[in-house]
Amino acid sequence: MTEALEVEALSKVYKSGTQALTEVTLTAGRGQLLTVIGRNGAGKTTMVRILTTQLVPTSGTARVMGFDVVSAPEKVRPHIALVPQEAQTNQSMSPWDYVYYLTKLEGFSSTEAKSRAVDALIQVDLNGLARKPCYALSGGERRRAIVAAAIASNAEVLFLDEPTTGLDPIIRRQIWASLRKMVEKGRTIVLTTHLMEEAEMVSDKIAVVDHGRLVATGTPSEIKGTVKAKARVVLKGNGGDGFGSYGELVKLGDREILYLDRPEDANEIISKSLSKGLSAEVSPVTMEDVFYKLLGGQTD
Amino acid sequence: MKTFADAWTIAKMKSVPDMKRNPLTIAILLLLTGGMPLTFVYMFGGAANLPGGLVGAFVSSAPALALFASAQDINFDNYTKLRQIFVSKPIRPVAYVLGTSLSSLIYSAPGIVLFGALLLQRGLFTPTTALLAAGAMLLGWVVVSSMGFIVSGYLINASPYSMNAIINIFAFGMAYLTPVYYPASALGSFSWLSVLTPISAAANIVRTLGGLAPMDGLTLMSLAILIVEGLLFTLVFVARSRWREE
Repeated sequence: MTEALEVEALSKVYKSGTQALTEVTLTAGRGQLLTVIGRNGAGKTTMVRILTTQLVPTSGTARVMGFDVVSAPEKVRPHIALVPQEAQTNQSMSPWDYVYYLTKLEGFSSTEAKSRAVDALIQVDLNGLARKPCYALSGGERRRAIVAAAIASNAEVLFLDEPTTGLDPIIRRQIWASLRKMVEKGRTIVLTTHLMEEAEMVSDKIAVVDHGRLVATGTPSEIKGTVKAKARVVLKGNGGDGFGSYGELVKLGDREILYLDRPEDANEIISKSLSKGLSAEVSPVTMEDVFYKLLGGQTD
Repeated sequence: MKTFADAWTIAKMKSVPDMKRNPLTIAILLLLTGGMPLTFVYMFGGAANLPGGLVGAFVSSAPALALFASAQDINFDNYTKLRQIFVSKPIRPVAYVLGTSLSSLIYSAPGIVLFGALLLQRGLFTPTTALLAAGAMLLGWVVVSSMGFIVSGYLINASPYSMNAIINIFAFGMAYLTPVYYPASALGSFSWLSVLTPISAAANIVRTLGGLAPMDGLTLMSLAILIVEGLLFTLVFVARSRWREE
């Protein structure tokens, strides 16, 4: 059986000359949730747009459910659903209208489309607001309607480009639960996000993209394992300058994060911090720390 | 068959929720596309010019809205990313184009019915000429839709605000400035200009069918040019349109 997603040496240079993707090679198995993370402009959306048959790559190949996105887009489309980045609903439509009509376009009968729309709206907790016009809903509620439209489809591969942006933590977790349920049922999800906690919580596999290149790929644990530091100490109040020998010290205004090369140094650092009158908190490194370290913490 | 079903679903998606939740939209569309110019025709031209004005209101109902649907709506779909969702679905581009155009027909249906009924009530048309008049109006609708799609293709990245302004200028030029609500003969030796723009060309035909203008070269030329424009603009649109981006 072929992989759900097979990307090989995929490159994209826009007409403007911007190199958005460079030789990206990546796979996602069936029933797997692949999260693509990267900074703004890293090439995540370009990748999603190529894989959803909207954009033609400059070179390389990409296959979704075994079908080439360039030579056989019409064979790819019945297998996919998309939540584009920054998508908006028509203000006059209700969430039900939005989900129902888009589901109907999948080829379902009216009865089946209605039933699927209701189920999907329940999954994103919008059933109580299903018939309200979108102009009367919050931005997060409208966003959930767009996610529901993808959930309601029969697609085997869902491409969700920053679907939880702007959602509150409770709803975000509901969406995560829906995503994991779909994965359990064998659907493949390709997610892009800037929320590192989300990437860590829901992903089976993470791909880190930077300046159009694939920097790292693996399970969340494997990605975390790519950096040397395993623990960190957050110091509140400036005064961590003397701790440089324990690992990298990153200043965040009046707070500092000390990445420990050896976690066993934590107790010593806490004692020294307390004697200096600093507040110190030890924790394992987060995915956000790993992201920062993998991408060099550059601010350009 | 699925293409037509998809086109109908898209047409309903783009019109029914809006008409259902904002019924005032229909009233506003009726007033703006037909009612307002008709009022001015009556006020400044008197009752004698009302039949000609009614022809204008009837003929421009669908084409004027088609311009907004085909250009502005597609631009708006790009802005809201709905087009990206459509492209990634198993639907044909022609279903999207047809559906978007049909949505303007649904929006303009109340105007077509109202102004059509008023024309019939005044005895301007027999059932046969009424059908032919509807055909001429639909031909105008096809041409204007294609023009709108071409405009949207050239201005694919224009902001919705810019697109709105551009389309309003186009609509003003094609539906109100040209001989749609007034006879082409009012242009004197320049009456031939009326065959060039689709809504006035359709109006020339409908006026002839209603007995408000003689069947002459102008009418035949209007029909010929409408057909040529319909084919030409559709071909240009098909050649230029890209469902996928390069």
